[in-house]
Amino acid sequence: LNPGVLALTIISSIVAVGSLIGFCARFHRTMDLEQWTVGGRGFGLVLVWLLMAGEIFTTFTFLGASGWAYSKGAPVLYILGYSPLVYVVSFFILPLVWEVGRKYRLQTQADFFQVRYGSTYLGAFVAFVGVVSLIPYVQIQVTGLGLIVEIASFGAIHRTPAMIIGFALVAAFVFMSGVRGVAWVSILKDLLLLLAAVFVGFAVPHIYFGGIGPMFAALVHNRPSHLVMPGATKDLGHAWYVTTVLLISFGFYMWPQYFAASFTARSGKVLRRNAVIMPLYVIAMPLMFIVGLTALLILPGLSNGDLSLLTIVRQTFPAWFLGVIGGSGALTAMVPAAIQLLTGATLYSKNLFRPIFAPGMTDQQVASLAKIMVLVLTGGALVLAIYSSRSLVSLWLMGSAGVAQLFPGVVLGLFSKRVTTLGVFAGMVTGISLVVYLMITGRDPYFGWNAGFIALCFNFAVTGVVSALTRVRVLGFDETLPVLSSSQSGGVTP
Amino acid sequence: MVLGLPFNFFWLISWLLLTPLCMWGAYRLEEPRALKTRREKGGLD
Repeated sequence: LNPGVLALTIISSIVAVGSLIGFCARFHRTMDLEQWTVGGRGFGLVLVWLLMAGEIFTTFTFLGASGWAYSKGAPVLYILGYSPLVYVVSFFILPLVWEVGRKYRLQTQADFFQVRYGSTYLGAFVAFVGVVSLIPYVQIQVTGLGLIVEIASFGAIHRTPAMIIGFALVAAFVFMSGVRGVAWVSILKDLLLLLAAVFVGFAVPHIYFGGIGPMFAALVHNRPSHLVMPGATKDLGHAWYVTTVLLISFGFYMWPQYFAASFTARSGKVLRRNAVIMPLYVIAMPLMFIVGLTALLILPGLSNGDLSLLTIVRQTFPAWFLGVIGGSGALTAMVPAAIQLLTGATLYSKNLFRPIFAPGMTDQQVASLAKIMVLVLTGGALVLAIYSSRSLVSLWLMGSAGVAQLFPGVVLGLFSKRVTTLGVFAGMVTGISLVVYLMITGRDPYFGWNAGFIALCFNFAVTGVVSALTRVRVLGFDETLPVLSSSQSGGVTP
Repeated sequence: MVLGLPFNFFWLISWLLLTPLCMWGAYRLEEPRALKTRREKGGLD
């Protein structure tokens, strides 16, 4: 049997089983907006863990992390730097977000801003920022899926048709199953990913060097600069590392899909417990780095670092194993893409389109529009993936810098009664404008600092100054007038 | 090198294991306080 056909058959089988699980998740459930977006707010520790881990381990991890280890070296360690800190931040913030989410029947991040600050337009702005930032994240998954099928087919299937087929499937199961389907598919995806990461991470250096230690010894001998900052780059030094770790630690849960995932939990306690155990899941991440670094020694000169993991697997193992790795990689692209599409579509329909253009829309109409938007966003990300050549990690960093600008609004909204709607709006506009300017003009990093972090500092400063100069209209959640009507929220407003 | 890993790798990986331990301690301290607050508010959790 042709090795490409064998590998593709196994990938297709794994994707088919995953999709079937996603479709089955909707049985015995009425798929209204509440069930579709936040799973009826009834997820326990296991489902919340699966959902959050499922979203966190994406193609960015699977291909992007090994790709950056291959092409950039030590700067990739920023991922290990922020990973524990992200969960410390989530431990303190997410249970509070969940509590107001349950009380006010919030379904999206933009709902949080709308209710806390009493402004539909601020909610719409946050929705806009969320949707725009999510598109590069979906693009990462689309690109990754294309790479997987292209490598696994030994070049027989081109990246573009692979991306189109894969994302038609993703759109279909988001359309049918909502967030519950995504959580259930995560079981298969996470199991396969962990097995693949652990096996490949230990086996590849063992086969070529006799173990991880000898591989690093060879790396120190052949490419010593790859293991210290700034690695193979010119400008990603220690200042970039520290500012990037801080930016991502604060901004990680500002990704609208992670923020909204907290609303699916049964209780705040579930989220606290989840934060305690999540860092253990990141243990698989360094193994991806190790594969990338081994590939650097064995296969130097690859045109695209993101191909390093799949290329070395294809060279080292039989075709059926490439199929298993490719299948788990494909699910690793599809599961997060599904939740990103679901979140982006809901944000657009519920918080941007309805309040601005059609205030009379019912929840049912919003749910229908969101399903159409899943297709529109998938199409947009596909077009970008086909025409863009940015690396997976740089795409992710770009989106992260954007969503991190929502952090002051969330954290001050939870803990301060002095922050004002105008202050938060002015801070966000300043931060986002600065990020866009610095990135478009090629000034990231700027004087060695992460552009997103610089923007976040200005964002905080402007929020503080403008809040001090303007009158407080809404003191906090308890003092907010009920903003979401029952038709807007999908539930009852206190 | 520590256990075959460069020190920076080893240090960062060890914190992936130590963070859950520290946070378990934080959880044990925080949860009774959160429970008390919830009861005062009328049992949201």
